[in-house]
Amino acid sequence: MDTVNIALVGNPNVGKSTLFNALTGLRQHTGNWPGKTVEAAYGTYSYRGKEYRLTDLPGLYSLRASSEEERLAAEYITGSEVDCTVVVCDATCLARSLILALQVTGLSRKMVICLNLCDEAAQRGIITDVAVLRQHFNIPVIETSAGKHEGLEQFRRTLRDVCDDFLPAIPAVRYVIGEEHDAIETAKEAKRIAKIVQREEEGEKPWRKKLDRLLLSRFLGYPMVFALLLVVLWLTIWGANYPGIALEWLFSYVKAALSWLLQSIPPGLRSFLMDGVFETTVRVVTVMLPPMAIFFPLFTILEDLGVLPRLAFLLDRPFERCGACGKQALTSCMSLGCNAVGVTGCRIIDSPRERLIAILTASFLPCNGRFPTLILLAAILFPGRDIVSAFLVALALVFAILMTMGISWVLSRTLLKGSASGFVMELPPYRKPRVGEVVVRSLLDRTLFVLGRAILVAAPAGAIIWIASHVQIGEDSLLTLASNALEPLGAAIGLSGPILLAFMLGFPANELVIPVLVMLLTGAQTLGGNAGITEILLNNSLTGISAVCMMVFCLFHWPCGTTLLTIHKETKSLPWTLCAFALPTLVGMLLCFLLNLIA
Amino acid sequence: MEPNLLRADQLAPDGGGRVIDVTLSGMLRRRLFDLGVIPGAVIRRRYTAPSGSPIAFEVQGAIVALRKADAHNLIVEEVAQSWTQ
Repeated sequence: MDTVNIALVGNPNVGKSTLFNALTGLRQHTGNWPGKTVEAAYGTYSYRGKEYRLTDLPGLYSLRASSEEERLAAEYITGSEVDCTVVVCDATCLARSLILALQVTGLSRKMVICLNLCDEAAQRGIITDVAVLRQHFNIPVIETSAGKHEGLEQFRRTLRDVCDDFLPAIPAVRYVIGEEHDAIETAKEAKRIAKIVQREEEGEKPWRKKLDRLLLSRFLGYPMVFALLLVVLWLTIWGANYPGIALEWLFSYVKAALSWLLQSIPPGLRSFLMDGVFETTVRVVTVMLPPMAIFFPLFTILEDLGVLPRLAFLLDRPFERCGACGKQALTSCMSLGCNAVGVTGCRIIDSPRERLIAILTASFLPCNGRFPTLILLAAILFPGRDIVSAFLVALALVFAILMTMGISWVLSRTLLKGSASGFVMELPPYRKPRVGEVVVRSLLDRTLFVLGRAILVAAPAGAIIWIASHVQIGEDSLLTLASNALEPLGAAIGLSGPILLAFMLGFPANELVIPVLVMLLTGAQTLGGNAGITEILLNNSLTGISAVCMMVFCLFHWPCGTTLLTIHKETKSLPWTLCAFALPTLVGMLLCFLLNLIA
Repeated sequence: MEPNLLRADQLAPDGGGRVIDVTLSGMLRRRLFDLGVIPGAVIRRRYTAPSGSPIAFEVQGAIVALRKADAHNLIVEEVAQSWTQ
């Protein structure tokens, strides 16, 4: 079957990804989350016996190659691989969309304009004379409302006609992207065309303005941000209990089945596989998967709603003062879900210096894997007083946020000298999120990713821990020896040998810290259940001060293995990766050392 | 600066201004042009973050946020409240 290659380009927030999803359904693969804005996604659909391969390029304002993304996109659509470029335009904001369309005329052989968000434009009373637009460019113009799945058939038919050379799609005029003068001329031309083809009959619906006036106001802004964060975290942490219980139940059956299957192999090997590899993997999956499955769909829904850019708008000032980018507020929020995802998200920051600051500080925020540890320790510090311990966890979070800013400030005055560069951020209109679609897609993408990571990371870790606890040198196991060797350092920073060793063994995934610690303290050779963790910890001389130190160390220590790998992938630099390792480690050790000194 | 001109961050809430000059350089300058903020374009101040920065402007039907320091480099000529596009 022939494959036709189509590139989708457009400004951010024109519903390009919605169109892409509507056309390709589930036959697509994206790069890293949040793939829809950060990396190109590919998807296919078939129409009348031909396969169409769509490439959803990142949202761009220009193809002038002033950033890496722009350069790659321009290169891609100029290349011979692409049969046709579709410029997705926002019908509610045509003048701006046409700037990009004009730039594409100079790059692509065949092009089509897709006027999206026609429903929104109609609601606002904006009328577009498509025929005039078609005539001006001498290329097909498709009208769609991707959110409502309208115009998709016209899209598919038009592209078939264009790619089969039934319909001319070679733009009448070609604009060459060049100097600054041209930038102004292009914008003027786009505005002129938009004025000819569009007229507005009535003003914008006032509720949007009213909502923004309220949300972005002096009095409500910050409380709203704080409330939003709390609700998201609350839903994530407490909501995760239920699927967690279900998963544990499910895995108990898997375990029974596996034990039965492995009956005939030697008991040593069986114990290695079941108590070491299997138990560890299961524990990581049951602890890690549910919060991820809740946090990321929630986050995507907030993004679709248009809430996240407003969050960055409200929080920009403090980041500016620290010499960082306001978008770091967003990547920091992502880090609360998973530090590695937060690091990938830093691609939305244009300035390389500010991106590095955001990457280096990503692991200063506790991820879903660390929250359970914080909650457990807070509960130990204030037994029976849930509200006080919840407050303590919130305080720890605020402390982590302040520390992120403090470190950003220090970095922009030392290693990464420079002042905050300017940035432009769009506040898109509020849009109804496609909840079902988001949940299905996030679950599919995330579940597979997390399961893959759990197997890659937790299984070998489980194997190593099992071996270390079974290999005896003299009287003691390797694990005990290691923990004894770490005792002086652990004690100096208010922790203990076993606690420090647990953090080290938790390097593959922070979820492992508590189970490994319990194993070390009880001498049990497998990762036991949750029962009596508090008693075990208290019986092993966990004092108030060491619990506080452990909370601090939980907030600030080396990033987990996945995060470090991601940092290396993003920075392509070993020194920066090492820096990302050393920075939180030194901060955590220093803080714990001082705390221990004072106490 | 001529007396009838002011800077975009000095616009009153909901006040409109016709862009006269963009005294910024590099990436930000080009990005603003791509967003339609070119000499002659009319922008309108919409929202201000609690701490006074950034400031969101309406530009060609879209809302675009700029830091106060950057908005200071947009020189505009005030236009009447009753202005329509």
